[in-house]
Amino acid sequence: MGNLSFFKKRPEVIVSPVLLLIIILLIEYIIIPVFNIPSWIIPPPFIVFKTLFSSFKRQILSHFIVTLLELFSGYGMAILLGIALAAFITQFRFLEQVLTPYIILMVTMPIVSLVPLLLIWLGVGMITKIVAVTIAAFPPIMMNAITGFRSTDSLKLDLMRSLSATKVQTFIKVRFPNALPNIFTGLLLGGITSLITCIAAEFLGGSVGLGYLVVVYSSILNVKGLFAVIIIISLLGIGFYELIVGVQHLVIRWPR
Amino acid sequence: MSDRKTKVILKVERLTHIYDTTRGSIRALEDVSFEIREGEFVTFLGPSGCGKTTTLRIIAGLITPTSGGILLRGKPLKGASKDIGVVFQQPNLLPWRNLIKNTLLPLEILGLNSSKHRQHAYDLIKLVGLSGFENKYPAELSGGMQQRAAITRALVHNPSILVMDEPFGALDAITREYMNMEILKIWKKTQKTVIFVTHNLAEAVFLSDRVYVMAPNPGRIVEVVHVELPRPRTLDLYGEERFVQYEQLIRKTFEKHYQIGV
Repeated sequence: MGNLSFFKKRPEVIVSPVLLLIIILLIEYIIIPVFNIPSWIIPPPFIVFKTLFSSFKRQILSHFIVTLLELFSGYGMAILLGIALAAFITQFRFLEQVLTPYIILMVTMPIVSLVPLLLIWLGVGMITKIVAVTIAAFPPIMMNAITGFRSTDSLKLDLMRSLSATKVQTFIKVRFPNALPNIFTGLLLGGITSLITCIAAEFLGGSVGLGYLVVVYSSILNVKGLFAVIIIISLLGIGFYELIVGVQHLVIRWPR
Repeated sequence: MSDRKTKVILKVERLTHIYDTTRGSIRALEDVSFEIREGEFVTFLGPSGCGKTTTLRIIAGLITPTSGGILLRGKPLKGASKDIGVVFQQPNLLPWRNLIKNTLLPLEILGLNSSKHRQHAYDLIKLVGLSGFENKYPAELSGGMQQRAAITRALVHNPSILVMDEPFGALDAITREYMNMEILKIWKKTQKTVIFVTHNLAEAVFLSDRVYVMAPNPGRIVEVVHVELPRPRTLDLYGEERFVQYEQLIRKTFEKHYQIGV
């Protein structure tokens, strides 16, 4: 997945997608008058950008900050929870057997469907969204970390045993670094799930966040505002993804 | 060339090991006994399934034998000993550590971090001819270089015994011969006791003071060959008549004890 990153790429690799964007926007400018599409259905790109810049600080920014906080705190807890649980579970063969079907269940079920329940239990505040993000993001992180911890080459474990290494030493020096590529696969998957769950949770309850703003703008038919918020959410998604890939490049530096 | 003057460092007594599998139990080793003296180069030679790797893994403390025991300098050996360094079938380096950090790993684990120990690591890297590659990662080193790095790691905490489990099996024939010269050089310089496992007849004769010839079903020692060829040995030895005679002697032993399906 890291190959999709814009990092360490030649200029044309960045320029050509930007050109594609410009072409799409131009096509929009042709299509809108030709089919006589009213601006409350598809506003011209220029109007959308104007709305974005004029209303960002005034209306969008405070919601953006809330969503960002929910996303980062939920995701951060998911990382800790996912890796810690994976490290614990892989120490016990029995635990792995008992839990595997439930881990698969947690990874495959859309956690969004739990949000109405969380709203009843925890209210409509930020806590609900943070918990929802954590529950959504930790299973893929945990599952991939388990795969990574489990895939440790037995010869490397023999090496550690021949040196009478403790379990903790073996974990820190072999199992954990060995699992890092898998862990980052989980972090990317978890990152994607995080944002989806966060926005959807905001749809369903509360009075702040980008997801809430989407619902409000939709209900008052503020389509240009809606487009502006969608652009912000998209940028947040890409930025979050690139952040994770960037950290991955910093951490996994050895040639493979 | 077994030197009777040096002390027995490792005494293996009546080692038997049985693996339980779903298709019944396999007698990997039966009643294997031998003695190794300080500074000797001893090789276990045999086809797969003869128990040579099992013997080595028991010495390294990686498996517990079904019965029998080992005395290291007269004391019972329980589990892994830091007086025994292990070189594995593959280089088995940690890919996320560069060469020097791979070499230093045993020191980290054993809590030896004096500057004297670190200097020893650099000295060993120099000895195996890898100076200048300290910051390279395993993926950036050739197979032969990786196995030389593995030797530095096995020696860095200064064990008396170096056990090597078919260390050059994965290398091409030319690199392998070169590595055989290298290991003799390292052995001479460090004066370690080397216990070496191989299925390569010529390699066994070339390297060893003594070759234990093993056969499978059950895994056992069937012959002990004292290789009384002068040292230092060079690759010229391969063509010489006395070298070939040793090879023939061992080959005959195999014919006697090991039915090759024809």
